[in-house]
Amino acid sequence: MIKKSLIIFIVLFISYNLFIIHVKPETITQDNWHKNRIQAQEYLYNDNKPIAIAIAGTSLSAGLFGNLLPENTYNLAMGGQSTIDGLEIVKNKNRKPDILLIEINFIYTERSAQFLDNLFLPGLYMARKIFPALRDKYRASSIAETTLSSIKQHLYKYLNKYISDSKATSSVKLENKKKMKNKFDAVQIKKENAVKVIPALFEMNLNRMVHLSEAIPPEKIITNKKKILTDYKNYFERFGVQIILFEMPVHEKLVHSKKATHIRKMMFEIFPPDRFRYILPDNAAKFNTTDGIHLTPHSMMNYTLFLTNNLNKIRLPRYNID
Amino acid sequence: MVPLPIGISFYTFQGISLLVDTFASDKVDKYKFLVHKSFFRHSLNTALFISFFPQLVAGPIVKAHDFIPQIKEKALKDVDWESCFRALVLGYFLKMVIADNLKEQTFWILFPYFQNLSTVALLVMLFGYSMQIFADFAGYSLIAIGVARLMGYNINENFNFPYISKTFSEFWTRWHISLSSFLKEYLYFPLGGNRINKTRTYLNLMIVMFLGGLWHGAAWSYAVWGSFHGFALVSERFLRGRINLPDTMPINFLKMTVVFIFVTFAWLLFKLPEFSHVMNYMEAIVRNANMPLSSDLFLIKYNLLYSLPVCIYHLYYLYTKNGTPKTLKNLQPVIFGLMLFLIISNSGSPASFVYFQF
Repeated sequence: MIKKSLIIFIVLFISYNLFIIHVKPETITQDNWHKNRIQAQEYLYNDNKPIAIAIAGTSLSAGLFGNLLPENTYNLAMGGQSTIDGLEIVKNKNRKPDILLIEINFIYTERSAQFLDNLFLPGLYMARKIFPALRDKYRASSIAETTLSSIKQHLYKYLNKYISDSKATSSVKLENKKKMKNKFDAVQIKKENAVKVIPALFEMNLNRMVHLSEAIPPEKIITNKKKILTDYKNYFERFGVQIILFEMPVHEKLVHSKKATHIRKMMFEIFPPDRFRYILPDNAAKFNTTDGIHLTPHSMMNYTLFLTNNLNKIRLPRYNID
Repeated sequence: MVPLPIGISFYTFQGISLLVDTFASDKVDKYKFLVHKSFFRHSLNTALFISFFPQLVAGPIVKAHDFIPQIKEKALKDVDWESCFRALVLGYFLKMVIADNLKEQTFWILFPYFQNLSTVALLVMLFGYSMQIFADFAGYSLIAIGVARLMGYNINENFNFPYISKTFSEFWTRWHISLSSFLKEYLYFPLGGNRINKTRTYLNLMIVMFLGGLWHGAAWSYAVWGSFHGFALVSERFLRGRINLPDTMPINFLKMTVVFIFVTFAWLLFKLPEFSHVMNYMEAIVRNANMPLSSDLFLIKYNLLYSLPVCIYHLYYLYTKNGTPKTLKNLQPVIFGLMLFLIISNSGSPASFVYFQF
């Protein structure tokens, strides 16, 4: 039984790897952490496109609209992760970006040890390079789902062609199907743009954030954080990476909180404004949030444009666009 | 917060088992063999029993009279490799593919994330958490059993398809069997069990379940959880004989459903240790009935997807209770090969076992 099971496993594993290499199937993310791991692994393993700008941040900047950012920008800001996680990932890739954008809002959020350890586990790191089946992008159930969906679409197209060729009365059914599909798409678009903000919950979340923002971390933690950030600064400067710091807009009540003011002061100490560029939001009132810190989709779009415009004004060094 | 040594709940109970088996007046003759004549040898046996690594951190809780007689020279040729392979593959599958993936889907049970979710999503996540905690703990137990068998030691099964239980007392003969068996032998029976009178029996059940709950952690939520189960056992015992339901499939299915729903809601106290958050969650289930499902479909889909293997696992047991059909036996290498493949290609992000915290 053991031998048979192992043989079946090996056959499945090799076939799956070959399928991925040759078919290059689309994937679907199953949850936030799956998405984060895919994002991090794609950055590490995909050398096809040079990355000119890398963004390290938290869930605040994870929603930046990729298609509105400058070309060859890779957003390593991930929901539930910290800015330090992004910095560590950039540090561990041999090829460094030209520019590193660092979000400063929640700079005190600790690195996710488990996330990074799993990413950089020595044997697994190399194995993922050789066997794409081991990467989260090619999770078997995700690929099965997208493959089945793709087969369904091809079948639908084939049936559509067959039916329209034969002039059957079922063209009415097809019209209905199209209508249903359009309705579904419309619902999807509406869903993406809709923001479920319940006033009572918004107030509760905002008050919680205001309360948390009134406390400055203990001296020991501040010293430790300064050291960590200084080490990263020195490391990236050695490789000629240009560091630009940015702050995501948050609710007005949080902009001048004790913690936010302290963070700005600390960052100015480590990354002096006469040597490093800062992109700070000019007017927090212009932006709306869902919970005091995360921007609504419309505000996120506006902020992405604001960030891109500011990046353009800084006159970034030219880089190759493939 | 007070840091405690890892696994303390488990090896403390094992130590109690050894002491009681050695010195209790009704056991001293029966378990004479537990104490070796040589003090040095006895020390080694005790050290091995307490620190046996496969089950040190999160069980199964092993009793002294079950384990110590097994301490002797072992040979590779005596290892049941197939049984070890099955236990390990199934254990890792339950842990890495089911529990680790479900943990990411049930994350949103935590406060305050659940506030904005529809009733259906909240209920499905609770169902998912029930599957997750089973897969996590049963998976760990199977891994511990498999590793122990590789070294020639047999540890008793810790889970016996608990979610098909028709009664609460049956549930506790199928869930965390090593704990319930320990509590029965070393607490319930010495308290008098059901031998004194009915009132005393009910009291004994409440005490045992209350303490069993507290064993999980020094927090009121665990004590309440244990008390809920105690109350369920007491109610069941009270109603036994007063209400006689026919032994038909629909009735049995209804009983399984009632037990499952109760157990699942009780798990909320594990996921949300703060009582106020538990109440908020229950309120949200009622309050969010009119919230649209559309934005929660993703969450619902993956909760159900990763819960499905646990359901199949339980259905497999019901189907093969009276013997495994030949076709299924022939399919076993395919099933185990597929499980191995999914362990490699479909694991969630690694996380520590839920019961490590106890």
